[in-house]
Order: sequence, then structure tokens, then C-alpha cells
Amino acid sequence: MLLIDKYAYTNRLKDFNPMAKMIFAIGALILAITIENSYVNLMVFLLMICLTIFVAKIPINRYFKILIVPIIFLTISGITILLSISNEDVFIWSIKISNKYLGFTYKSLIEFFKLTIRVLASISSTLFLTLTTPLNHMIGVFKKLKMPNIVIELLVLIYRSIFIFLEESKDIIMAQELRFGYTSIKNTYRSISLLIKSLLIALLIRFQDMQISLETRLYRGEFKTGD
Amino acid sequence: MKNKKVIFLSILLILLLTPNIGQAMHIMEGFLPVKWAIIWAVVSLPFIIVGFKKVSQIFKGDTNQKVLLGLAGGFVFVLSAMKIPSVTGSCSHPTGVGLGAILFGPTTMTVVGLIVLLFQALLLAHGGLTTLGANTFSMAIVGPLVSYGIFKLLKKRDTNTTFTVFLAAFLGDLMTYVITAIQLALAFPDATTGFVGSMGKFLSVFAVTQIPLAIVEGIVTAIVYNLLIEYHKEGVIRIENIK
Repeated sequence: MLLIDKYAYTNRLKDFNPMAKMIFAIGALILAITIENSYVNLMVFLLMICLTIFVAKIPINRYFKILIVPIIFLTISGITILLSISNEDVFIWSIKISNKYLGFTYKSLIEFFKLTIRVLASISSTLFLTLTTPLNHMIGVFKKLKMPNIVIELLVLIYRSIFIFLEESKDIIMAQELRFGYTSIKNTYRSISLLIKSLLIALLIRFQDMQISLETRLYRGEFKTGD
Repeated sequence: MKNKKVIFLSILLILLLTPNIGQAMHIMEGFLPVKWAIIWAVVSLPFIIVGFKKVSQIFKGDTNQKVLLGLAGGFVFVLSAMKIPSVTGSCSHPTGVGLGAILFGPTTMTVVGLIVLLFQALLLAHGGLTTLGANTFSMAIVGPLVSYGIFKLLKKRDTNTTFTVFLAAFLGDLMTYVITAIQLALAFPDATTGFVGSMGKFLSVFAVTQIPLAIVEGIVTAIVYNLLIEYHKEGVIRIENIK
């Protein structure tokens, strides 16, 4: 279900020094959004894609599957930025709808291309980081950087509970589907509400269980996370 | 004739794309220019600091709350990864923010929301590291505050609980969407009409999916809340904010 997480643990670069990978990827990200140069951005994009696909050996079709949601956002927002409406025809390309013009100017076209390449450069940098570095390595780096302990603890706890609930919801959804729980919209809403409720109750029950098990292990309000 | 073709094509494009943009309200990685990325991070910072202060205070009083918050974070993350078919035939994803704010309070939700947004950026490639500030402001600060405020306000006046919860979740979602539109419009003013025109454009484009999404989330949150009250009355579970 979590494609990125799966590849983070199985790729070829997973044992590479996480600090170095992080500095490299974040550096590329900062470079991509601060330098307003499309050639630099294009280089960053190509470099990151090559590193991810050929060095870390992430399957190319999976890589693009991960990119679908961001690309849809880019398409819709990009077109929204590109097109504008005006009373006079000031555009380099436009169509007339009743007495208004809908089109784009030269300036917004350039801005659109710059934006697209910047976004591709930065998203490929982030994907390089997330696809090659398992989250526990990243948390190790955060610890080395002396992040407050409360943040680290919450990160670890939430990361763990994500998988508890994913598993639980998968089982519930399968059981509901076997009983035709998702055949109509009305059924679906009902099923989803039951699912969320069951998850919430699972949360509370798990909370009670964890309280007991932590107390038996002499929990004093602090989780010790090792490297 | 040519105009008709263009309009037809654009409608087709919208129909093809809408099924997938339920989750696309997270501003993607690298989308905001560096100036706006920093501004929104700075705006969010005081809220985050207050949130963490509050949370560590809670932890000092009752150390078990740490575990509860960790579980709540996982819960909100899994909710946001779910798909719900919505009225326009598209799929939408609940944000879970309304329910979380009602159950756990808005400042706590800011902390949980921030970490969940970070995990969404890292594990799902939704949102991003550079736009974390902007997304936190719209989803983890304004959304919970609106939901919680409306819930408390209407609760005092003894309005129908189902309606109260629906309205709280619905308006929380709606405000998140309006804030995101404002953020995008500020960063990308329109070539001919400026900020106002740009904001109109973003509001109308995202309205196609976000208004049905908000309604669906409102309905689902209300049903869940009622089910929880039932359990609460029977003594199966104990939640402090449900009474």
C-alpha cells in the first residue's frame, strides 16, 4: 500500500550513509527552488531521475505511478495559472466567449514553463531521498541533529501506528467488500463510517493495551530510541 | 466552430482529471516560489511552537497521552489515504481534521497534523517539504481551529448534535480549501487581473472537487460521531470530549 516505503527498504542505496543522502537531496531541493534558472533545474531533474532509476534501481513504471498525483496537481494548477480572462484581447493565443477573451500572455507562458521545470526538479529531489532512505534512518539523522526528543518520539510513534491502522483497515475493507458493502453510494458512506468508527475504537483499545504493557515495563514517560 | 471544439476539449480534460484530484489540495513540492514558502513557514511557526508547548505540558501531566497522540497521528494518516466516492463521480479523501479537532482539540491537532503532513510528503509524495509551511497553515492550523470553534459555539446553543458536527467538519474543510486558494493566488497573481482574478480562478477550479468533498466529509464525520456517542452511552469507550 505504501509504495515509497517499500522501495525505501529494498533499493540498492539503502545502506549508503543516510546523512550524506539527506544533505545531497535537501541541497538539490534548495538549489532547485532558490535559483531561478531553468537549465540548472533541468540538470537537477535529469540527475535525480538517473540516480533514482539507474543507481538505486527503482522500477521506472513504479516511479511514474508515484508521480501521478503530483502531476495532476501540477496540470490543473498550471493551467489555472496559465489562462486568464480579460475584456480586451491582450493575449498571444485566445478564444472568445461571448464578449470576454480567455487566453494566455507571453509572460504567463514563460512563467508556466519555469514553474513546471522547477516543480519537476524539486519533486525528483525529494523522491530520491524518500525512495532511497528508510524512515528509521531519517529519524536517526534527526536524532544526530539534536531535534527535540518530543518530536522524535512522536515521529516514531506515529510511524509505527500508521502500519497498525493500515493493516487493520485493509482487513475491515476486505470483510466489508465480501458483504457487498461498497455496491452503492449510500452503502459506501455507511461502510466508510463504520470503518472509521471501528478504527477509532481499535485506537482506544490499543491505547489501553499499550498503557498496560508500558507500565509493566516500567515506563516513566520517556521512550529511549537507539540509533 | 473552432471555439466549440476548444470548449469541448477543455470540458473533456476536466472530466478526465477530476476523478483524481481529491487529494491534490496539498500544494506540491517546489510549487511555491521560495519567498512564499518561507513566509508561510514563518506564519505557521508560532502556532506550531504553541502546539508543542501545550502538548509537552499534557505529557508532563499524563505520560500516557504520548501514546494516544501517536495512535491519533496514525489514525489521521490512514484516514487521509482512504478513498470515498463523491457526488461528482470523483473520489475524495477525507482529511480527518474535523473529527480530530473535535476529539483532541485544535492545538493538539496542529502538532499531529504537522507530523502527518510530513509523513504524507515522505511516504505518499503528497504535498512536499518546501511547501510544508503553507500546507500546515491551511490544513493543520486553520482547518482544526474553524472546526473546533464552530463545534464549541453551536454546542453551547444546544443545536442538533448531528448538524453541529456536520457543520464543523464541513466548514473546516471548506476553509482549508479557501486558504489554499488564497496561498496559490498570492504566489501566482493573474497576468491581467492580478490577485483577485487569480483567486477567483483557483476557487472555481478547485470548487468542482472540494465542495463535494467537504460535504462528504461532513456527512461521514457526523455518522461516525453519532456511532461513537452510542458506544459512549453503552460504556464501551470513554472519550472526554463526547458528552
